Amino acid sequence: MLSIPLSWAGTLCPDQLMQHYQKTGASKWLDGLIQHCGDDLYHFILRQSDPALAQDICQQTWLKVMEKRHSFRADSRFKTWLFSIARNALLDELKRQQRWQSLICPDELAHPESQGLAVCPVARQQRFEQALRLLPFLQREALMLQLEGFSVGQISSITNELDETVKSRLRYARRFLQARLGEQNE
Amino acid sequence: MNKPTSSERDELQSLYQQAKQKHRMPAALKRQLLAECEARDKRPASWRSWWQLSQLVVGCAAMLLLLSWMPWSPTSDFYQIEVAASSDYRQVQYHRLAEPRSVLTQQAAREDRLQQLWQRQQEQLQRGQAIHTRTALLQQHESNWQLTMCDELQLNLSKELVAQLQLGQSIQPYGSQWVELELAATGQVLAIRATEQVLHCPQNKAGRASFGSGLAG
Repeated sequence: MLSIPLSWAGTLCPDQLMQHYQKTGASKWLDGLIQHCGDDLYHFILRQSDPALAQDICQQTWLKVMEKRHSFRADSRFKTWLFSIARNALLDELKRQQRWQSLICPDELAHPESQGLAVCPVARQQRFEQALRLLPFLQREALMLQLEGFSVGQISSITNELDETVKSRLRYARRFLQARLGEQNE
Repeated sequence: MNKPTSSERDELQSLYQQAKQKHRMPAALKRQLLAECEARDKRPASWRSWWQLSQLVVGCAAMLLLLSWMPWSPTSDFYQIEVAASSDYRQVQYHRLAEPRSVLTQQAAREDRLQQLWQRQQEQLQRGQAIHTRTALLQQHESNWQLTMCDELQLNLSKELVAQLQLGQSIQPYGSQWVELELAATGQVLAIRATEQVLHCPQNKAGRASFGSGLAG
């Protein structure tokens, strides 16, 4: 196992890479994990905070992966574990900075007016990103996790919420985006 | 709201992926993390590895201690019996004690260790196995002892073994005499005592007379 060349590491999925990293602690496996999940995690945290905090949270998260690699359960999915660590670290930091209360608001507050306009791709991208920013924290979080490929069950696990709560947030978030991007998405 | 259609999912997914492309994890952060990982990988001893190492050392020490004091089993090679073919006897056996497996270099310490091993083995043999007695003719040749039971069996005991055996006071230091052997079921000699009993052997194949005729008493 130790003799697997680095080039092979690129062909392994994050769960396999984590198993190797858990056993050996060698940096090549962590490198593979960062290649696979680093950008996804950074983007997820960045959308929920700001660049400085996102870097800080990502650093904390990956350092925890190094420190706690032995506590990772082989039967769980690495990316779910990673995002759970990052999410908890982010919430702790936001609470510490007293930014948490201002970021959350009831789900039903996201009621944008429908734009209903056909726009060019660049404008659509900008509108999407703007709409994402405007979403309440918890709805945005749920939606981004789903767009990252997590199932409802995995999102529930990451956010410590019930499946129904997650589904509700996803529903509101999608409705909001749908309205912002226009009906032509249907 | 109805479930999102596949085209809506694709659209959102596409927009999300494009948004992600613009905000990648800073390369400096990646380098910093990998450097930290490499440093941890090369660091000789975290508290965890120290703990694991100390557990290993303690475990090995305990194992060595246990092995050094573990009683020898009767089947161990401490008491060795070699069997040889002979035209005069059905079986000839050479009994001797192996050197104790020990790093002890001082003679006194080695002898103590030998004594300990012997006692433990004897206790095991006497406790765990059926003991039987046999009459034999003892003949001493220098420091080696020879015990014969007609033409059936000849036992040759090494001087180290003789030194450890329980010898009755009536055993003569030289010459020939009838003795009673105490034997473990696996053949080890446990004790030798002088006896008045004489072993009458049937005529052997070479036409020799029984032992009894050649000895006084």
